[in-house]
Amino acid sequence: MNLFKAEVSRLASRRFIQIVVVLLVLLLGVIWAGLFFSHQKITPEVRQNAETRATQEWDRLKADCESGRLFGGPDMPGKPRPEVPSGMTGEECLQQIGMQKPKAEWFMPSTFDFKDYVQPMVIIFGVLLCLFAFLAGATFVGAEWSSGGMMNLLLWRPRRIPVLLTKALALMAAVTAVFAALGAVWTLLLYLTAKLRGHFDGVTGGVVQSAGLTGLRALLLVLGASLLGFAVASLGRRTAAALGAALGLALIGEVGARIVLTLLRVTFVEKWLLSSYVTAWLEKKSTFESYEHCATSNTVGECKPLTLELTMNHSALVLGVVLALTVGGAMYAFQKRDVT
Amino acid sequence: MAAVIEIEGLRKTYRTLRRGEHRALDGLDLSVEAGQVHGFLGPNGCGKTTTLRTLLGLIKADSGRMRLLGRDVPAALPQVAGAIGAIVESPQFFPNFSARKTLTLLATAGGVRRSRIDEVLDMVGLTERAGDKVKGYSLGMKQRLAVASALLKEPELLILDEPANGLDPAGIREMRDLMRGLAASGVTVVLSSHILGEVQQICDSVTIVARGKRIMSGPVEQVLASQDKGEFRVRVADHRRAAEIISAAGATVDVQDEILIVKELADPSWITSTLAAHELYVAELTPLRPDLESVFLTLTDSVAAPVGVR
Ligand SMILES: Nc1ncnc2c1ncn2[C@@H]1O[C@H](COP(=O)(O)OP(=O)(O)O)[C@@H](O)[C@H]1O
Ligand SMILES: [Mg+2]
Repeated sequence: MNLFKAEVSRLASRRFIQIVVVLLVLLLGVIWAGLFFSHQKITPEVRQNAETRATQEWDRLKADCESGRLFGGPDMPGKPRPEVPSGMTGEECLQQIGMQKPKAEWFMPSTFDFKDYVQPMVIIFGVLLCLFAFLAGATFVGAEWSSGGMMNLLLWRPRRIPVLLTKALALMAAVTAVFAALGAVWTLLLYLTAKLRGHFDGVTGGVVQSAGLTGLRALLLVLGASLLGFAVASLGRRTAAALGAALGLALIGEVGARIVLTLLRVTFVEKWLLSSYVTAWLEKKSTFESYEHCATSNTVGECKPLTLELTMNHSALVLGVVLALTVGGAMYAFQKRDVT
Repeated sequence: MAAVIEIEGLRKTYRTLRRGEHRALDGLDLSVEAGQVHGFLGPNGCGKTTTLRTLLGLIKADSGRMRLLGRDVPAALPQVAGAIGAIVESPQFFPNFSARKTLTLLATAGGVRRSRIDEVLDMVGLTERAGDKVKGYSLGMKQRLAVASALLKEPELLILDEPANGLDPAGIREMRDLMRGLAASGVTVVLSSHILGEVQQICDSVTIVARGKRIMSGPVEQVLASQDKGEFRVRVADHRRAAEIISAAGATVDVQDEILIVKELADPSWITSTLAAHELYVAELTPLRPDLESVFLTLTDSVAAPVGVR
């Protein structure tokens, strides 16, 4: 418990982590501001205004159709449209060419539809926090190794595995706290945006529950990311090692594997990419389609794509195994290694 | 008196990808009695730090037996760690934390009372700079902070690896006074060093190590006496005649710049009486006692690494 307190305090005192939290807050702020100012509440005046503009537009179209200007008529030389005989009223003319009255919505500014926005907003939040958590985890243990603090600590606490586990717990507690605090603010901001710049139409208990569950899955993912950063930096004994590994994984793992596997004509390259599982985990499931076989099939007519469905259960398994291997390896190495 | 540290036949070979195998400890023995200030001496690279790291559980020995405060380690290390304060190889601290923050974190982790932080800061003379970031510290100040961190636990046994590194002469003197005070209050102090001058005055006993092996150990006087060749420095007016007389009387003598060095002699009064009999009167007669430095150099030279091996 003492060690846990010390580690939380150490984590909170780390300048780098403080800076990353501030950056995270700024980034979320910018995203929110963009969202807030690009959406408008649909007040009766706005609706009235849009309806007026829709009617005006419709009237203009009628006039243009009647005069033939719509097709490049008398004023503007163009080919007369044979299907629109002259002498029709504007209304008949537009009906003839199948044009419908513009909807008032087309003339309204976009509005913040809570029901539609809440899910992606929770996911964006989760992804940003994953980056933060990975960095925090990596630097927490990486700087400790390179500064010699780890060795100093082991002189006080010779049992290595409990030391590492306590550090990991402190990290996860801190990450959860940041997640909860920022999550509360983010929720409040989304609520305010809907209130001031949108509406809550169609928001049922189910929508809220689903968003909450997405938030929980995001939290688990964020904790996983922090542990991953922690474990990789603990293995490599450097923050830089963890960042390098992350970058390497992102580049080689995602881009490289995609290219190689595509060249090997593997169906559903996505199956081998960690990012697919992250997406599936956050979105409950991802579906991928492949038309690969269509090129060679000789069925006539429409070729049905093969589909691959990754569910969050698959993801839990895959991501869990990756995490467990990394953390297990880190603990094993930590227990065995010479600390010099 | 009880042995606080007992090490027998400690062996450690480092295996690195780059440099291959390197035998750092080759059957090292070390024994330290309670209440002593013990000097753990040897040239750079002889395995002092490796020994201390192994003793403290930071690295694993290949073989050998170690006991700390009467308990087998590394098995019982968690039980004895609370009674041992240690610094190993000029310890680094997180550069952006102040000395106080660093010590507070350690004290919290180790369940040490808060008031102890100010006590140790005072003991090492860091109180005034305790709020400054460690990255602004001199090497000597970092060394003091390290000692402070080792003292936090009010240890029975204090292990300091090259504590004088980076200290100026005044700092070394302060460190010496601090250690004497600690030893007087019953703390056993082990300090490693490759510079002998700084430890001779404070150590009760020493262990001299070369190439991963103990080559001599015991109380300082005993170690010095073992290397005492019974040499005396003699100054007389007519040094040439005096040399002839002494040689004729059967002693070995060297002449260096009008000074005689008489060797292998038990009783210096023999010189005075022999020369006085020829009406030569001794102006100066000094026994040439070896100091730790020269003993150390003699001993470690004899097992110096062959050329080509580090
Ligand atoms: N981590 C390590 N990996 C490989 N060799 C090492 C390592 N640490 C020390 N050594 C080697 O072991 C020998 C003993 O080193 P050390 O115990 O640090 O000596 P000392 O502290 O007496 O100067 C040296 O030759 C050194 O190069
Ligand atoms: Mg050393």
